[in-house]
Amino acid sequence: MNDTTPVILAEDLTRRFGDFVAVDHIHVTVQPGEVFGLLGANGAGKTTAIRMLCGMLPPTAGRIRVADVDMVQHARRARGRIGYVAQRFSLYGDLTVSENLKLQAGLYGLTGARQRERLIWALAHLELTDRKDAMARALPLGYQRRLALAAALLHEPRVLFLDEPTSGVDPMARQRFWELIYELADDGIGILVTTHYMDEALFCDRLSLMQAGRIVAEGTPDELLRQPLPTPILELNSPDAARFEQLAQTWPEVREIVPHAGQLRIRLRAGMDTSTVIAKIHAAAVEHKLTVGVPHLATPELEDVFVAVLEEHEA
Amino acid sequence: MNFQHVRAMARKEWWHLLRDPRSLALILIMPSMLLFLFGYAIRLDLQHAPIALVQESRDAATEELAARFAASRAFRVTLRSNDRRDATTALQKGQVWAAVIFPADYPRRLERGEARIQLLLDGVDANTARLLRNTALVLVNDYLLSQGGQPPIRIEDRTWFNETKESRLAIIPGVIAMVMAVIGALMTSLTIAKEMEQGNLVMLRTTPLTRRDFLFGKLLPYLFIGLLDLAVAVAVAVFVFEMPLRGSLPVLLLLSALFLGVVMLQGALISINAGNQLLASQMALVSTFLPAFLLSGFIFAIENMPTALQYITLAVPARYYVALSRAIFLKGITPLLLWTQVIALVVILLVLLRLTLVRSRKLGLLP
Repeated sequence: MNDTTPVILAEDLTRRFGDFVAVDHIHVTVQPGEVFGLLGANGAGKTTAIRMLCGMLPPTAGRIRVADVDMVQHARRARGRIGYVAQRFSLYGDLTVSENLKLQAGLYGLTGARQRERLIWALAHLELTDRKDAMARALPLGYQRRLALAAALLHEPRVLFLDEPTSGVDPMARQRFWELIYELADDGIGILVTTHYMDEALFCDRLSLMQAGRIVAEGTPDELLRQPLPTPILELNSPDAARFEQLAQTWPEVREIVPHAGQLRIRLRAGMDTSTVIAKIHAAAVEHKLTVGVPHLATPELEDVFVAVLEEHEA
Repeated sequence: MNFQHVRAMARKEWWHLLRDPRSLALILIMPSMLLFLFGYAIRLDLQHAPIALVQESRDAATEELAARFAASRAFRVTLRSNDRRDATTALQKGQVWAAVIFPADYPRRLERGEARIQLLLDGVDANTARLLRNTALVLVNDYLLSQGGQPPIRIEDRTWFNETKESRLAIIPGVIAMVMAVIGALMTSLTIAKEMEQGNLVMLRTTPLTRRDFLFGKLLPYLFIGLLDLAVAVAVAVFVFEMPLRGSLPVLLLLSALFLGVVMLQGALISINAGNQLLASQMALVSTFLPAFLLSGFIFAIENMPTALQYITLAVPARYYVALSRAIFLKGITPLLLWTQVIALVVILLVLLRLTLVRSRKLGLLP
């Protein structure tokens, strides 16, 4: 796999709307064949960032190169090399599946035999052949997403942008959609995907977490998970969980206690020593005659990492 | 310009049109319907105006002139009486528009050469009152001439291009212009606003399509439909309203395409500013119908307007098209004689195109 020149390279990308800084000096690099995830809550700046990367919105400052073309200077040329799937279905509901694809093919300059060949490929590859004469608006949501993806792939783009591709889609369709994304990445397409599903973040090769227009954490999922949590989490089994929760809530060392799958997850404040707290738990159990299991340090999940990072930046 | 992109857009737009046959039928039928409606409703001539005839004396001299009133195509005598009070009551009730009163001493004074007839007019509609008065004057004048009177001056008049002076012939080209303006602007304002409402532009903006190609591709099918509408309207004008078409049909179609281009761009500009179909269609309707109706010179002569208003009409595309189509229909002259009107339309077209492209870039709307 060619990993020398990135298909997306954005540096110091910034966008202001009046006084409001929607995107604040972010860097994004995506290699061919890589699935890159842009995560963040609604309003964190993901959509503004993706709109700039696709050439829909000129940046206030910064450089963008997409598929070896300067997106700021030559947006139209760069657009011919990218595929974009919007969050909302934005093809034509009153046209059939194949009519929508024919329009898209025309807009990307595909003609004659080449157009026919690509249409057949897209319909087959995204399992839409049976529905090619169906009205787009009559399709189930999962199929509408596939149609949008088919339309974005007709011209064999080198980069694919997917804005919340699986939101609102049932789990089976989500699964299938991710399989398709991996197949495309295996063919060498660089893929940038935005999502707010934490479990989907694990499917990405690399991630950036956005908050208030900035990237606050980035790396592979493994790298992110290996980082020591600033706010350690203890897991505790106890038949007296409810009473213990009440008791420990007021401790100065404890940030929050969350009941989770029959256990208590006790998140400590930053800088607290876990062994001191474990000792304190044992002492309290004896004192109040509570039955508690052995507390142990929890393996952080990606969500814990993100919550910790976001809180750190909010402070 | 990328013809492939224009073609792809135009083909797509065509599919939309075929998918919605009811709207398509409406677009194709509406112009002829409006033409019928306005063609019959707008009448500036006097025909069969109801009048009252009061003859206080029944003698041969009175009877002779009264018969002329009764026989006139302009009048219809709906009340005959020998009491003038009947006439004034009818006038007050609006049953007649005018009353012609022959006093009892009419025959006696006629012999002395000083006869009088009274003409009472309903001045509520001042224009009609003026027409009634003029028609009555001419009628009496003709009667006198037929009696062997020999006035020192006679006017030999002949009305060119419209020998029978029918207002219909002047109105119908105006009605066609008005209908074309409304249809053209309405169709395009709706179709562009629809894409904005549905969010299709988001997808189009990630493709290599340019704003101009988007606009051309989108408008092309509607230009074709507009010309089809025009052809139907011309056929109705010629075959139903017996409108003479003295000039060349291809030239008329060519100029109509130019005018349609103008009003369609007007619709496009409106829709990108309105953003939704409802507002866009209202604005398109008002901004084309009213100026085309009031300020194009098709009913009210521009030369009779206050100077300030005359300047405003310079920005009304319909005024140029009305002048051109009247000339082609009635005078049969080549529009080269009216080249300033053609230039004006071309200038308006280019200004609107520029405005639409600049405005849509500012709003970040079209591709």
